[in-house]
Amino acid sequence: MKRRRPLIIFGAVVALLLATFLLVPLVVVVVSAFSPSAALGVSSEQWAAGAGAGRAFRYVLATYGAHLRTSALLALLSASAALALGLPAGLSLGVAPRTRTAGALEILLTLPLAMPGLTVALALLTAYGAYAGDLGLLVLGHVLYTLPFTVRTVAAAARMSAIASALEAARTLGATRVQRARYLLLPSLRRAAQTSLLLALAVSFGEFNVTFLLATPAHGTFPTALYLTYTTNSFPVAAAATTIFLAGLVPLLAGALWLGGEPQQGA
Amino acid sequence: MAGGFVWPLARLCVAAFSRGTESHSGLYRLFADSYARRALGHSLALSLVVALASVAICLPAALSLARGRFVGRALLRGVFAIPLALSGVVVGFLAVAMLGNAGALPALLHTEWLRGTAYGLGGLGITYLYFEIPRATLTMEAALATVEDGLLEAARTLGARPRQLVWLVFWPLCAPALRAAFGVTFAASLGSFGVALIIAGRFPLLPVELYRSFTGTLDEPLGAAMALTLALLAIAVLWVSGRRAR
Amino acid sequence: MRIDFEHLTVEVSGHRALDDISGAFASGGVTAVIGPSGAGKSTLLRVLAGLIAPDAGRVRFDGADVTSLRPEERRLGVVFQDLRLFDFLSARDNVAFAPRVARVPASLQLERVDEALRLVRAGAFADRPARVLSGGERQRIAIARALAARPRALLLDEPFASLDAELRRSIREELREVVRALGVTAVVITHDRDDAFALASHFVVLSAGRIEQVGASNELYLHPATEYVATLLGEANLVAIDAREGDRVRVSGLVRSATGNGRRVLIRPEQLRVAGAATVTPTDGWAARVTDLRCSGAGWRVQLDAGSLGPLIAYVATPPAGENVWLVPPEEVHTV
Repeated sequence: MKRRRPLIIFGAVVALLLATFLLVPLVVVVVSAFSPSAALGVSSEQWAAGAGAGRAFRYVLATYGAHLRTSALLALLSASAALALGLPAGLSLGVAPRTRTAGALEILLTLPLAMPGLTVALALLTAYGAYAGDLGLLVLGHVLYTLPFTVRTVAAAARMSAIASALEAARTLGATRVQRARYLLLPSLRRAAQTSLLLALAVSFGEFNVTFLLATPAHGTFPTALYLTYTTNSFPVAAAATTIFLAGLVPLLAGALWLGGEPQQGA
Repeated sequence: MAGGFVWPLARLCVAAFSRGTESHSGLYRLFADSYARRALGHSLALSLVVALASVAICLPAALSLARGRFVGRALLRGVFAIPLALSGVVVGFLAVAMLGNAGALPALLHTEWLRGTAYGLGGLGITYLYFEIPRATLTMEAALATVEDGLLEAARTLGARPRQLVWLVFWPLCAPALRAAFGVTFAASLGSFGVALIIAGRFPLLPVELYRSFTGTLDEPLGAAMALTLALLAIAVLWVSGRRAR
Repeated sequence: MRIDFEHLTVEVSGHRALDDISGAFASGGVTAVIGPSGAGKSTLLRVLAGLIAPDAGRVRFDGADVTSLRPEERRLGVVFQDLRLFDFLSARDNVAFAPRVARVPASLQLERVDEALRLVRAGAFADRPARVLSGGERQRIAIARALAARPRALLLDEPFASLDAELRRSIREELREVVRALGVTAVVITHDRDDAFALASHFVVLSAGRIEQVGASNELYLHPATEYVATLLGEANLVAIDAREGDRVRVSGLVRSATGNGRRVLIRPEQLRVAGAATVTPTDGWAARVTDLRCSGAGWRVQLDAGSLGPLIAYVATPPAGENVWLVPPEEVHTV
């Protein structure tokens, strides 16, 4: 269909422009984090002359290092919890026939994603306000957001690989439960598990709403620290903190995409 | 799932219908109070405009990514995936960095009139577009990729001229994708909190107002009512737009 | 409408899908284009429909060159293998598509659509959305959609690929009736000889992008030009000739008059008479032993070992009485 060629080219140009629109602010922030005195018009006086690029980073790490550690810990905890819960849940959803119950369960699992993050955060605060600041509550909040990714990714992989019929075939061939798990389940779900783990880590690491409302300053995560830098610190500090945040997030996303995951929305 | 999600939601519903220290329930006051109503109106209007704009802007890009085969296509998709995972506050900060009072864009372009636009209505719209463009593009791309060339061929053998092909076949095939993208972007804009928290000082938007009434004025019933309204609106839009989309 | 194609060549990524082929589809006739997958059948259909331009060659409709005409200008009715119904429309609106884009007046549109729906007996489900229809219903709507275009010719690409055997038979019969009643030129692309025999009286056999043989269906069945055509159109016993004298050949002691000038004799299974040991003298037949016997519904399929002749197949009405039988070939045989 040669007639649509001009449209495809036009669309590609638009896509390129949009990608530029998306990338330029990130580049500007990262560049100005490394050169606070550069003529980007964004350096404030106290950082101007003579201040090395490292100073903003050192300041961020010294002031908000605890937040960064909390974020890493929280991401690890909630991503592993999501994987531990999501693997069996996704597997049983993927293997189960598409009944009404299975459909309802899947909708319920993805409902937290459809809702504004603030609503979920407030609901948690209303119900468990007494435990505000508790790491367990934060993990719970994050698992609500990460579980949908693991369940959906694993269920999709189970459906794609028609794992249910393969398992049946293996049974008729005499494979034991352990052999079936080892030779069928593991290989067909390994990639889905890896992808959803990376996605869950990224989502948890970037999550702001739940943490912002449920965490006490001591247990704040790095995104809440970002909010602090944006509202209280100078631009170079904010830029440095954002750069650190991106350095943590982008590799996780790139890994998930590279493994074949679909781009997913964060909170 | 029950304890972590259903129970808190139930508690939120109860809170929204409770009176607290006031004379009326939070839900009643949300629609009676003109300020809260205005915030809701702003949120709905902003979400509507941003959703329509992002669908319109992203359609050619999504078409191209879904149906074109060119070098760098995978990389482009990757670039689109990054802003999806950024939390709202970071996007808000990017807006400040580019269009704030000391923003990079006015400095780079040596223009004064862009200075501080981040805090205006236009800046708010642009910033919302920043995180809606990837959403709209990738949602439409996924749906458009399933449009089959075969149907266009069949229509041609039945005598459809190019323009009829577009209006009678291609457009109906795309419509579910556009609807889905509109729903996803509208719901995301409606619930977006971080961006508004950073830059929407001049305009009351529902997410920010609900945050304030919960933490600032400690008006739990009103905050809960706002949170519930946001959620119901978002889910309703997603449900209507996603229906029969597959 | 008569369709001619001359010296058509189509290359698909360096491989010749069609290799300089010429031929014609007679006006008002039903022709089957038959061959295995990859023979170039669908490519030929797509060239006729204008969906791909040939690298060389011409297509003529009633003598007029249409090679450069776009598909929407050719006024053909195409039934695709995957049907390609517009799922966002109702069954009726699918059928109304061609009259609609041709800007036929509304009253006439209605008439045409109803007529097409009646022809394929689709009236009962015409107002349902296309996406909820069953396989057989979809098939009928796809045919009605092509008919409502009042096509100059009907092109059908493996039209029953998605149907189970029973439905396939019944819709095939209906299609046969419709096409005969309308007297429309029809080309059926198929790899299935049952479909070909059921629908068409004329065959074009394709193999690897070339035309293997063209002719009436019964002629091709009994007098194929090549072994390939012989086996494509049905089960075939192929037996080597010992000697040939003019139009007479000797095969394992028996002399027969022969058509064709091949080196092997073609005997269709139903041409081979199976007789009990007492009824035939050794000069009239070949001694053979029954190795397998199975009921084929209407009759019996007998598999035989005839020594040096190799394994043979015969279709008979009643199963042979004993294990040892005589096989009597017909008086006149065809050689390939």
